[in-house]
Amino acid sequence: MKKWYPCELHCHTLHSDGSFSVKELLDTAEARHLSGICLTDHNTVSGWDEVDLYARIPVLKGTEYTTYHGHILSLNAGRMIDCFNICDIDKELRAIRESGGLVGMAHPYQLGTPICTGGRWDYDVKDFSLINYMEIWSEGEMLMTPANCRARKWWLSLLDKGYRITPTFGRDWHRTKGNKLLGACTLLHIDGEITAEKMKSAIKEGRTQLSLGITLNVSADGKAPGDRISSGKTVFRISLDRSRAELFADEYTLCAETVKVITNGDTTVYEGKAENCELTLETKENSYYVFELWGRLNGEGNHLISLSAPIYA
Amino acid sequence: MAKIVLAEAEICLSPEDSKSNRYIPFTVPEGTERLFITYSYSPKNLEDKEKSYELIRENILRDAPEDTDRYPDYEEFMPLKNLVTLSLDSPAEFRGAAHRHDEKQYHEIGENFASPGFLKGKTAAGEWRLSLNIHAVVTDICTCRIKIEGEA
Repeated sequence: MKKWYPCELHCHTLHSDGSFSVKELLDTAEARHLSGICLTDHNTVSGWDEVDLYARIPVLKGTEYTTYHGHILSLNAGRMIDCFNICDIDKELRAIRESGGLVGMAHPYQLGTPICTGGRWDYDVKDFSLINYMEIWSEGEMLMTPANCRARKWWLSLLDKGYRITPTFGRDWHRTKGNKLLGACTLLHIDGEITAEKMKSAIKEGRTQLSLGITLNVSADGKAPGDRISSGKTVFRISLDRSRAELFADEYTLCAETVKVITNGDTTVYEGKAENCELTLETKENSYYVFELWGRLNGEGNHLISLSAPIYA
Repeated sequence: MAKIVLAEAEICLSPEDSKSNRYIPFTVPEGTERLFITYSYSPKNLEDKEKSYELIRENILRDAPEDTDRYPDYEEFMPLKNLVTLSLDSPAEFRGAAHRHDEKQYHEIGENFASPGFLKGKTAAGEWRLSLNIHAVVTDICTCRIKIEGEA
């Protein structure tokens, strides 16, 4: 039986420019009711040993390569790349993949140098099948910041081209000060108890959901986000779980209003009331179906509350 | 044991050096047990507001041309900062990086201890390399001072 586990996939510590020690990061993650994290310090792996000393929750060990032309996330790779001498980006991404790692693009539309050095993704990737995941939601409020809005559009355009890139949220967590929307995270759909290896599989296989706190459960004949279904008449079962939102109810309130289903070309094929229901759609071959939950944040609409990774037909 | 200086350098950078590397090779003698890196650069901040406005405007026009009106408050990005970080390679392997914003830094690397960002391990004899990774120079001149010492 698969379950959604709340995780933070982008974290920094004193091993780069974060304010947390590794132990403080882990303690704070638990206090935020996170089930797992990825340690992604800039350009180093020196914090990994401390994870083994202090972790009570699973930690997927990684690096954020903070280069001059984009920030590359690498998870569980068997080797490091020379990130300050990249001539052929595909070659470097392939090296991460071939060493067993996952490749992610961090905040691709963040303003770059000098405001956030190298933060804007300027690499000309030739083969997007090398990218496992894209951080389409970085801090802030989904679609309310220009950078997140453009990242979502880019991600959908890559799905249109047939690439299966997993969407993720990343708080780009450096410290507790100034954190917004404390419950926001990436949910990973995992069978049984969460482990670092299962976190990696969930990201690799596209079993993610980005959420401010309400979980959108979507299934079709036992298939869920990341899975492939047969095209044709498809009954999707939708249910909402507010349990994580309740944990952060003193910080902010969420009110679910609308469910949207997005398919190729950023086309909305369904829009209806957010409630537990069954929804029948005529799904098409070579298409993706992204489920979005929209509603009110602190009484104000119109906010994207949750976005599920695609179900593919 | 007394420390010996393995390399010392003062390097002046300009905005044209942004997004490039400078290298400081140094030789670690046999029997060295610990390395020490003392590093500083100055200035950290661009105090010239007019120039800051211009650089921020260019930054937004380049990276978010469709959304320029959604970044109305340039002050939130000030002061713009120089950022020159360090990374270290032994003769055999990458030994870590100090990707941090402090303009004054001190690091130690040894078999059983390394400052955060660096990887502990034997300080093998041979040709090492400290890299200055120049992410951004926003002031006309940025002066970096580096001293690398070894201890047997």
